Amino acid sequence: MKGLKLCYAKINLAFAVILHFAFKKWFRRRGLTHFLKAYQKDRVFPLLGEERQKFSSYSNCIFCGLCVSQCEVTDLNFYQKFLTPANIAFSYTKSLPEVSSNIDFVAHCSSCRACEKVCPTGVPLNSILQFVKAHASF
Amino acid sequence: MVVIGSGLSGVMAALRASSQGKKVAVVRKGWGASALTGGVFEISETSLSKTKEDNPTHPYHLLDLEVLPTAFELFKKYFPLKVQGSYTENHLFLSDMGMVRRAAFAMESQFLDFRTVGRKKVLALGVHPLHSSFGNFSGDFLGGEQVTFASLPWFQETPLLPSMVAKKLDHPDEVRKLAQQIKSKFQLHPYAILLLPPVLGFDFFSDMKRELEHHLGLPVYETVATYHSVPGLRFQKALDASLHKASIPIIQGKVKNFEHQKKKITLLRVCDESSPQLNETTLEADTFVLATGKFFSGGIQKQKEFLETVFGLPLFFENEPIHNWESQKLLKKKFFKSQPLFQCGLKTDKNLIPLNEFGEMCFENVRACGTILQGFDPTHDGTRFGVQLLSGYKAGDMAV
Repeated sequence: MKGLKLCYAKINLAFAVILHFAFKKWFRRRGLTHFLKAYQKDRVFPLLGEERQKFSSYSNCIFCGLCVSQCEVTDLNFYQKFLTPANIAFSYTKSLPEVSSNIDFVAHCSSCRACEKVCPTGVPLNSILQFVKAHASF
Repeated sequence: MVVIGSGLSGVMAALRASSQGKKVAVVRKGWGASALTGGVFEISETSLSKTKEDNPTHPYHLLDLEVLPTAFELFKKYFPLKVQGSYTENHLFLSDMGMVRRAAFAMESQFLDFRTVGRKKVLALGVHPLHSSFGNFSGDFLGGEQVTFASLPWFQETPLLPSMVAKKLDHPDEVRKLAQQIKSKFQLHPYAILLLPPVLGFDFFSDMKRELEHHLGLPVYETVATYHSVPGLRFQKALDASLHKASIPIIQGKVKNFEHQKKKITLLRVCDESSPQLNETTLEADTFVLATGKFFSGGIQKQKEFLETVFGLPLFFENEPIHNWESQKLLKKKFFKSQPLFQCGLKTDKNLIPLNEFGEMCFENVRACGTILQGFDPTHDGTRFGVQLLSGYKAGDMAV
């Protein structure tokens, strides 16, 4: 009885494997369009390998807020058209979907790099802002 | 000599060495934890001898405490802001969280010693959208109804941060508007002193303080900040100005790597990542002073193991090497107590040369100074200013 059950299970498994190799390999969905179809609703966008490597240094922000005191755009329109650089950098410590919520605030950045010069942990704030600008369409 | 880090200790080392006629350059990647301080200068909580007794690994054991006045004189000679206080006793200051802080010195605009207030009535105003609004505190503090806490709604609409309020109040017209606002909301005649959070101006704060005193007709002081705020930013700017005054160049950039022959460092490569063209500078020097600070300023880090970031030196806690300890071993469960994690740092000999696990010198021509030294917690200990000043002075002295 036990041997029969084992035999039945093995036949089932073999059938599944044959099905997988025969059909699913040819019908698998690939490419950017399929990725976007699946994940655009959750605001997840594809990352390049280089960006993935930089991502760990993006999340070095400790939210000390020194960059805020240097930012001239923040002084002019705080929370209306521009969020503080610290907030944008700090959102990277959370998750990727948070990036897209910053898009409205990044457009006003003049990329003067004043914030980068005072950062104690050396977060590449300017390249973060460029990164968000590049993915602004998502 | 090359100094890495432009906090208080780094600046002290650079000033001392340049006053002896040496050629000095300061390398920094950004502002550090000096810009996060609250504007008070602490030397010790109780007395210097008691601090030494309580803590056997405290940096005061390595330092010569008698040079404190001469070191402070040198600091004052180049530092553009006025600092008041005394070496021998602590003054009591009110912080913007409504607590009392003990410190030896404070900036001129914050120097309201609560021991000298007597029976005078004090009105402590918080500005509403800032964190430092006193609305929640009751009046029974420092003996009865001496201090009245109140909250002043900010007259502009947008929610603001302390540094932005300070930048706005850097103009006499804005100060006049603030004075009118205070006059219309509060009756000032029962009070002798007015306390405001430290937001009165950024570059011209002593002028703005005088302006407000002129409009209101009573002495105005600022509270001491407990977390990062405007006084720290003023302090760091003043440090930059004192480097400029002593004509010491500041090189912006991160130390990428270094070259050494046996136990002597010969060359530093500094890469400036914030400029558009990644320019690299090589620095040669006889002595290298490490004044990079603890975790906040990125001087020491824990990635996989505890390490010093520039030269990769080993770290110690109470003379025990901790490079492969778990962080939990250095953390206590009590939140408000001082954490051992912040006491770890470099172990040095009497000449401030960092040592390795076996008690040997790591590099002959490296001197460590400031908060990177082991055995004291810069945030809780109440000895931060003394250690930074003295160790910076000594490291500058030791330059070959």
